[in-house]
Amino acid sequence: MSTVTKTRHDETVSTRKPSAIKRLLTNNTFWIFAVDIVLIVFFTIVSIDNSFFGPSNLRNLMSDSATALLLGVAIAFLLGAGEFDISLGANLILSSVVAGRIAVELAPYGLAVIIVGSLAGALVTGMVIGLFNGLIVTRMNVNSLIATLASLGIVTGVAFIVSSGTDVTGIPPVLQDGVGLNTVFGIPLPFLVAIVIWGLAWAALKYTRFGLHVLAMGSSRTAADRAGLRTKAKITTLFTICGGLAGVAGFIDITRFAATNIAGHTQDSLSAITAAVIGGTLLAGGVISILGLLGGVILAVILANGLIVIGVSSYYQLIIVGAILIIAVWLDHFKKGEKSLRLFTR
Amino acid sequence: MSQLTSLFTRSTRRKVASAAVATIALTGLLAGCASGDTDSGSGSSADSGGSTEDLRFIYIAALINDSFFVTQRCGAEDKARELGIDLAFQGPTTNDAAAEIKAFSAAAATGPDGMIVAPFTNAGWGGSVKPLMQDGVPVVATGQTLEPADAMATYITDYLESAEPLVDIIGELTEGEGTVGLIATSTGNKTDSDRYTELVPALEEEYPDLTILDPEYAENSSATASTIASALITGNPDLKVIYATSGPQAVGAASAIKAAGAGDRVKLVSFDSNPEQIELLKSGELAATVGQSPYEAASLAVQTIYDYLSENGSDEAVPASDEITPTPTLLLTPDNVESDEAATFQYMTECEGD
Amino acid sequence: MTVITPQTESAGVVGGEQDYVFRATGLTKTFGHVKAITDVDLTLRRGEVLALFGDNGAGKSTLTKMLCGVYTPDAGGVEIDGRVVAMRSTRDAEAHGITVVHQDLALAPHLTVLENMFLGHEIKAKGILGGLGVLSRRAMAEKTNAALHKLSIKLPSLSVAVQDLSGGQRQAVAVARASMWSRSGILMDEPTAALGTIQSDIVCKLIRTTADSGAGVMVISHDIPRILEIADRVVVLRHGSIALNQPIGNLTRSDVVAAMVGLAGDPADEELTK
Repeated sequence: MSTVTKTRHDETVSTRKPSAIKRLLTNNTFWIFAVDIVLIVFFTIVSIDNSFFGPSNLRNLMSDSATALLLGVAIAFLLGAGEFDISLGANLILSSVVAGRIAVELAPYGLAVIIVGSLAGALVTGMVIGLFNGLIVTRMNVNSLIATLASLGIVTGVAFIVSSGTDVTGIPPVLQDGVGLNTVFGIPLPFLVAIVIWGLAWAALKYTRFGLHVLAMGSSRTAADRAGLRTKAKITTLFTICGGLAGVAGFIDITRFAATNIAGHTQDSLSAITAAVIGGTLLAGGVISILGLLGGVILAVILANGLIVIGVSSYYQLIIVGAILIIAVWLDHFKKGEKSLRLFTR
Repeated sequence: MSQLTSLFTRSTRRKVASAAVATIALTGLLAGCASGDTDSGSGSSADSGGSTEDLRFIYIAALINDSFFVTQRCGAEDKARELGIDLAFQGPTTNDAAAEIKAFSAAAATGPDGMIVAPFTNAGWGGSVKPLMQDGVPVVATGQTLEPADAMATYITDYLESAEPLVDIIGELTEGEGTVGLIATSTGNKTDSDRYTELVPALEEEYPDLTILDPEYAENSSATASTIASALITGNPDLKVIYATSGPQAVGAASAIKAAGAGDRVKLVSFDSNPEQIELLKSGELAATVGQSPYEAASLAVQTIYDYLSENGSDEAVPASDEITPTPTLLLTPDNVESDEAATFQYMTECEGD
Repeated sequence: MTVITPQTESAGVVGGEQDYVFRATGLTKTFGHVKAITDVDLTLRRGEVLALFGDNGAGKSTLTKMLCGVYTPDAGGVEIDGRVVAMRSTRDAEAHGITVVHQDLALAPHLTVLENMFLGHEIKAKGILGGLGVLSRRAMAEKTNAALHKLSIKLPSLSVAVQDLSGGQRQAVAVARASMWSRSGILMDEPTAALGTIQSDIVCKLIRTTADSGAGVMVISHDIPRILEIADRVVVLRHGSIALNQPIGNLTRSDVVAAMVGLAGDPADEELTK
């Protein structure tokens, strides 16, 4: 046992660090990215002209992952704080409907105005929904799974009222050309937005007090309360922020298609949770892996795209996706068994 | 604080609970009596030979937020208004066959004079429709047949006939060779599969050099359709045409084609003509689409039930018929989309009186 | 009974106006028909280890909760620094200088030692970054190391998740945390309850060290022999009232048990013991 006596620039003073290899193998995110790399190599080799890894398809993969990344960040933080949210898909829909309506009204005023107006509308809508969720959970003390299940219905209903029942028509195509299908240095703009937000989330979790408190509340709500954290206010704030992320996803959605899709997005919440959990975020709270989330999203996107690129029949796609899911989770388990490789033996 | 909690002693809580139960029971009883009165009022045997006063129809559609079904609603509501019928239009908001059947049964339990159903899929209606027909409540199907064929009449698009122009268009666009991709909605959905199960063999017969891929399923999600389309483009260098069987799927595929800059190489055709698809036609991103006439079908359905009840009343069981009355379709293209003829085949997003 | 107050070296305890942590008089708490605590007077001095014993249901928990802000007394008051204070939460108690180590430790299992030590008291970085909420882990590490050193606590690392520590180490972290944020007193509820022999000894030594550094420590425990070894004063509760309140002197375990159970000539109890 080493003694903690001197102050140093880093906080760990330990004389026995395991080898780099061992640390790598027991790291959760390593495994998910390992699976990703194996699949990428596989699909690249099997696809005609290695087109899977060509610039065009890489752009496809990036575009495909934008929404999942945004919702994934939202749900990872909520899960980490010990809460659930299955209303994210409905939030996305209502936000996209509001953004769409605004875009239609602002169509004559040029791209910049359209973007600012509809993005603001989507963001505000998303945050209001998030705030609504947060208040039900903290003021009315309703379990977040039930609360967001209820708000899922309410929000969907409101979306129909706002859109008069069908998808919003007349969204200016310039939104698609200017944002949704636009690229910056060859990188699709929606993906850039998502990855920047992802990066900010990673930094917030690692470096800020807010991120730490999210983890504390999920690890032990009692401990957080006793330590003097205003947990109710923080949870409400968290729901609001995450709602805002779903709102941004709704805005991105209408820029990609110049249309809303009210009948869609049914699996969005579940896909986000799956990506987060595969990536190492604990369902029970207390541990968030934003890096792992990226690995999980990449996995989902690679599978959805790659299996079609190499021509696997859609029936087999379902089987294969299920099998890979099991393998990814099993590998995670396998890593946990290696606890003996860990840092501290006494 | 403790005084407050002691208010909620067990005896108090029990009293509140029994009061609540009593209130609910009473309300239920009254509601039952009320609907009982309505039941005995309409469709009673006192009225023989067809009184058509105060008729009430209920229309159950597969997806009430889809412009195709909204157009049906417009047709049904306009005709109902004309004939003085009280029409209610209900249905699920997501692709859910079971939910639609439940909605139908719930509506049937309120004792309407006639029912119209636009089924998501044709299976599963066995127990729901027949009892109504036996009770003298006519049921008409639009958009898809019912299995078993328990309805009084069926008004649907003739998919085989409507697919024929698609065969020609696809042949033209591909010039007889290359690959054709298929984006469908879901499995176990005849309304969806009818749009390509007869098209595919027809294509294969007429253009033997074409490779037609197995369908991919997008569940009416534009995002999923976009993922599928972009992967199809990557994986099939000789891809010439993508056929999307519904509006949202066409929107998704169009976005993917545009993003890949493959508009010259890969053409898009689809089924249905919702407002987004009309826009795609006008911008040239959609080469052709089959427009159905849901307004027509729904209008005919209402009229048919009205005529039947006027003639026969509701005493006897309604005779079922497996006869199918086809409603017209039109292949919409960028050339004819602005024409008057095409106007009647475009779907609406809201009806008069909304 | 000696009160050791080495003020100069202590980083956590501030030399206050009084030499007592708190002076409680006439504390009473009733729940419905049950009189949990009746007219209890209790004083905790700085540098003193006060052992609070009592059988189950004697009211130890209720009394402690009134002293740290979880319960509000129905009658009586707690005087701190010369004034009677009303504490409505643990945050209030901490503001008055009193911290608590609960039986469940209230540590966040997935967070590291460092993060748990500073939970709710985080140090932010300077400047703009601090404004955004960025933490200064270096500053927190420095202070944590100092606090642990002061209590002679040895841990493998500050970056270990608390759930990966042994029971004794977890207890040590909880005690160190309470000591770091206490200005005068620490209340500990069953600190050795979940521990084995060696670990219990270590924790008891830690309690003694904490008191020696100037804090007043009140320990509730069922482990009479061990706590007697480190206590300066012994208080026994029975049926919600004080049955014994003496300096440690020559008190033995049997004396304590007798007071807990009431064998020392209380007429009411003679009926029970017959």
